[in-house]
Amino acid sequence: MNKWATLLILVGLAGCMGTTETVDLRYESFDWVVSDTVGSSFIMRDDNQITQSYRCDFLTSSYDFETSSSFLIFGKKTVRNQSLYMEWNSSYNTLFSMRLDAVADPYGDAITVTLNDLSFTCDLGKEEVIKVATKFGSIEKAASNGSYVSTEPLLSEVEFLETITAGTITYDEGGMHLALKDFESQWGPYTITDIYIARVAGLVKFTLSNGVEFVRL
Amino acid sequence: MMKTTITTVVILVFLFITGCDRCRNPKIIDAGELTPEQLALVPYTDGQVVRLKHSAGLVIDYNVSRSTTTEMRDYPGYCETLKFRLNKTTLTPSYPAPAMTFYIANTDENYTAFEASVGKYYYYLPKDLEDFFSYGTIGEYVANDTLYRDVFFMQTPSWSIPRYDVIYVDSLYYNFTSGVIKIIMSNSENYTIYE
Repeated sequence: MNKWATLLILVGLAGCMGTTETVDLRYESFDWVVSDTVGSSFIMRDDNQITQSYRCDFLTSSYDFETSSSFLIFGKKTVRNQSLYMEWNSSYNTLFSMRLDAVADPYGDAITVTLNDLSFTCDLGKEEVIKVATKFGSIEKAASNGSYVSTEPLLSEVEFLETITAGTITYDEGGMHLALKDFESQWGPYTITDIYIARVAGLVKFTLSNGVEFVRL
Repeated sequence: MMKTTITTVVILVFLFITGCDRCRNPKIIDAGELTPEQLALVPYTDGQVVRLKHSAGLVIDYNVSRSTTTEMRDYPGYCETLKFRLNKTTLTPSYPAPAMTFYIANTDENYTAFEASVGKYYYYLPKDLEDFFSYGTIGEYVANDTLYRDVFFMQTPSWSIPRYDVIYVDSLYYNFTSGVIKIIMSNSENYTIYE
């Protein structure tokens, strides 16, 4: 009886014993964190002179937990991945958000930019789009041996820029240009196709498929 | 003594689980169909295309969808369920502009709810001309050389404007025959009916 009790206690202890690894965002990833605070606003105007304000509603930092076991309950490993989430809502309910997720080597941290029903996820280290989600469908690349593979081609692109000019303002901190290239046959005239994000500032420009531009003032 | 305690506990647990005053068969109160007078509060028809012109010149098409559904609302305290009709009219813009939805419901046997949302801002609207006085100015309004009568003006209620919104829908002009006559934004941009 005592033998069984001892064994049970040992099994229980083995289950409790495990390692916790914390993956924090890399220092350079914080360049993409916008300097806004909750409640602060920016204004955008389109080519038709229609103006909207975007109000910052959320700015949160958290750790997402992932637990895995190598054999049954033994060797339990918990990984804490740091993430940051920022969200803005416009006068006409346009929703813009950015999310940063810490990812361990050999991959770079991930940034997800969402504007209404268009969303891009990029690996900041490898400088490539790894997921695009639209109302027409989504395409995602899978991580495999240090790179990304996908069963269907993901045509959308990210370009990192030294400076970004939106309207009359030039953002010297640089930024990224996200270009939707997938699902083109299903686009309508008001499909958002291009998003420009400046470091520190956030959303500075976006374009519809009919060429209309929305620029930050 | 022990037997009494056990019996008491069993009764208490039974009452806790079953609920001693739970309403099992609520009385259904049917508020009936919406009347033509109630439906006339919103002049739009399903499939219609409404046009509004922005103050800078862009004309925006709004596609109208309108339908009535049956809704149920429980009042457990009275052991009653109200069955009422909700007529919803949605104006979807073809361009990034404020979407609009109008709601008419007989949520009480003697009461008509008439509410609207313009963008993310919410309004309780008047239901007759007498009701106008408690809301805003009634009068005539000329838009694009057309005279609109019995137009009421409603300022967006402060509780409906999220804190920190810099540009928001400031006010709404509406009448029962043409619907939305004008939407004025807080930065003076506006959308006017374009027929």
